[in-house]
Amino acid sequence: MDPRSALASIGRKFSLSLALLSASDRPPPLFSVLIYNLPQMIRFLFCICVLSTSLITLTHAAESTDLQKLASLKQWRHLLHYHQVGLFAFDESQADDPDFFLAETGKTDPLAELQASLKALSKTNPDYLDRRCQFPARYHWLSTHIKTLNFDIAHCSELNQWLEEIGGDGLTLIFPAAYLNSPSSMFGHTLMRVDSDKNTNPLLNYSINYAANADPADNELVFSYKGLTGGYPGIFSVLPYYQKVKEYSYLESRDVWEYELDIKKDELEQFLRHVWEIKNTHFYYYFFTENCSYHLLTLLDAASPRFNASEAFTSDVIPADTVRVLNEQGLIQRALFRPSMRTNMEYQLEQVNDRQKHYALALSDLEISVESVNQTFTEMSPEQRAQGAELAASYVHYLARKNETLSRAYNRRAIKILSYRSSLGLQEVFDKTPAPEIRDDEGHRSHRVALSAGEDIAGTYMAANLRMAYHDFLDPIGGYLKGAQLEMFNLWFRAYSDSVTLFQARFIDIASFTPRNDFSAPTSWFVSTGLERHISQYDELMPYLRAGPGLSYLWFEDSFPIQFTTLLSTQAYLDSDISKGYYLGSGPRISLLSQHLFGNINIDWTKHYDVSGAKFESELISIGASISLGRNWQIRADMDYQESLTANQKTLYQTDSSISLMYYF
Amino acid sequence: MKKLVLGAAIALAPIVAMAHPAGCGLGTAVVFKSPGSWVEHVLAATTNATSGNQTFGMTSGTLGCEAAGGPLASGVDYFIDQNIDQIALESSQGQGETLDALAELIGVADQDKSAFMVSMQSNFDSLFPNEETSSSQVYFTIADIMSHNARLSKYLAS
Repeated sequence: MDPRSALASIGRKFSLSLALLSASDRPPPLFSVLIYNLPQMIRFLFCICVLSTSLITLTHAAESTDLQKLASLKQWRHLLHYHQVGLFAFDESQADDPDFFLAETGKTDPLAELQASLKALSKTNPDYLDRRCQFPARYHWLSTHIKTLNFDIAHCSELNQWLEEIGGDGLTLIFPAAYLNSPSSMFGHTLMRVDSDKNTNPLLNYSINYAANADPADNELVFSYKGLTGGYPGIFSVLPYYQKVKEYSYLESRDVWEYELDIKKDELEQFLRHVWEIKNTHFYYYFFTENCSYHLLTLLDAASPRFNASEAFTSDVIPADTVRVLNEQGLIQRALFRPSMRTNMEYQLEQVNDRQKHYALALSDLEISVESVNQTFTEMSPEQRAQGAELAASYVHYLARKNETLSRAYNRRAIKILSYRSSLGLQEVFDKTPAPEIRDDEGHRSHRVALSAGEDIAGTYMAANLRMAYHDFLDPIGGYLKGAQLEMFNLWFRAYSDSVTLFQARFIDIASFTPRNDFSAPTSWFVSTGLERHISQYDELMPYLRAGPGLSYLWFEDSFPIQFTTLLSTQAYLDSDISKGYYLGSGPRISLLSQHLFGNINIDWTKHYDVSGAKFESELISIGASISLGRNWQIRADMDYQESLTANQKTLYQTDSSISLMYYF
Repeated sequence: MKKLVLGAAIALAPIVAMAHPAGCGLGTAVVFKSPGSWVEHVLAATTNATSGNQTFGMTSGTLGCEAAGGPLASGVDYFIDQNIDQIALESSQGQGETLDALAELIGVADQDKSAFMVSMQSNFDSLFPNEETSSSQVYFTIADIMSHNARLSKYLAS
């Protein structure tokens, strides 16, 4: 029986006994009333207590349901960084720092964390003032949902000083392009810039960056391993934007795209309050999933229910895809291109004639003084000289960094050239580098599947391809670096008339062919590893590794650019069935590559001479041509001619031709 | 007047107090003394990594520094120190984004920025006399140039 009806029945009994008593002619003495009704009274009082307790419990129950509802709201979960991405992801907070949670079970129980937060933020907690300053975003959000909680951070001097300094009238997503010469930068990077109206120049704004806090003592292999498997804590840092521009534009020569986001003032305020909340929190850094780009999205999601960008990612997070998702959600208002020092120089070289190039090279020549160079090249106009001097200064600056022994001499020469440049007066002597037709986020999507029909020595086949990432020489070039290839987990399955097999698996296939010119001499290189078949035993998949350095040049730049690359290739196979169990070969490789928005063509020849192990000298000629059909579709034709000279002087050869339809998603 | 708050860095790592009469930012950087190519690669390899000292403060690297009491607005010394190469390059051209940012930090109004940058160009040889020029020298030379320029002298800190 519930307390109310129990109370009612006791009340009736009490009134009945009173009534019975009063039915007699004499007024009942109080004492007898009490004696007769004591049990009822006790029960009555008991019931009152029980009733009030249960009324209180009922109120609590009502409150708990409210809190439960609140704790299950998406936005609360976003504030606590409850997200799931990757193959093994649990329903818990991605924050790995126990100090981020006020409840002991905060990492796995949003309700407990909510209750603990409310307790910590309320005036009954002696620490409440500090807690309010420590978790201003949670505090703000809770205050909008709980009437009794008032939002007041006027006493938070450190927080307010920081908010005042960082400003906050706009937010820009910064996307430095892919940089193949560094394993961690191969897919590019993203960071945020907080734009403040008080700064006219964007360099003076502050950027928010998430990165792995790597041990500088770790070598590159350890760094790569730990970066992939959560071996480093990732932390957020705030730096003036000019520091990042220095790093990307000047030091690394990476182009940068700046995307202004559609964010409202109150959302930005909450964003910044949340950044303050997580400033000391670390998240284990996973290169493929919980990486720089991913956590910027989780920050955005915490700022407003309007943002749900991180939810779009389930398996892997590639920086360019995070930009695409924001764009699809209509959150990008404007995109600006910031060319790197190298890109600027390439465009500037197109604006000068050969004579000016000679002039620039002469100015950079330590053997000739600047004065005598100027005495030789007399027929040039001051503007032409200014252009030449600027090119020379950039070149000498580059040489100084490349050549340590001569760096002091080059620095001295740089000052002389700059001094001469300044004496000419004139300010803008070059046209500004234009933005590329297709932005980095407008290129084909990161994953690929393909269907193929072809024929090789084993017969005709149908093939299917799945590639997790990212881009090869024949893929649509718009938005991607020319001469750069980055593939991870590229699988080809083939169905012949009598069998279906995994034909080939490339785990990593990276190539960086950067053309040399008079003003820069980079080294090209490639590395590839996985499982493939060799014609000497076509029925077996063998693990292989192939890599090497080379030189690349750009021919016919003005008419039909062809990139010519020559490399030294070394390859190794491992297989118990081949003589000695392994094969090591080395030889030349030549590639002719022409990439255009409408399509690409690639001719690749490589010959490996036996060095050690089994003997099957081999030669491979690959011809591939592709035509783009819109942004995410392509048709491709491939022909591979393979020849091998085995140990008993027998020549094996085959031609593998196919036509494929590729789809990027 | 623009200012970068030097002392209010909110640090994760312990602050090592540095006492320097003209402010921490001055005198450490020399023009074109950037790292060599192998260091470049290490830097590149760790681009997406950050050192443990990275702070949440406004001006990383000036932890515990005293605000400069120099002739130019506070924070200018640090900016010059961090951007000296680009300042040299852009000064020779009399234009450029970093130079524009420097002008803004000093407090130069938009309409006088171009005059500032052209004045840097015409005084290049005083600003960068040789390849040993330090950021400290550049700082004081800028103040000197501005004091002799009718249009720019009003931006000097009183």
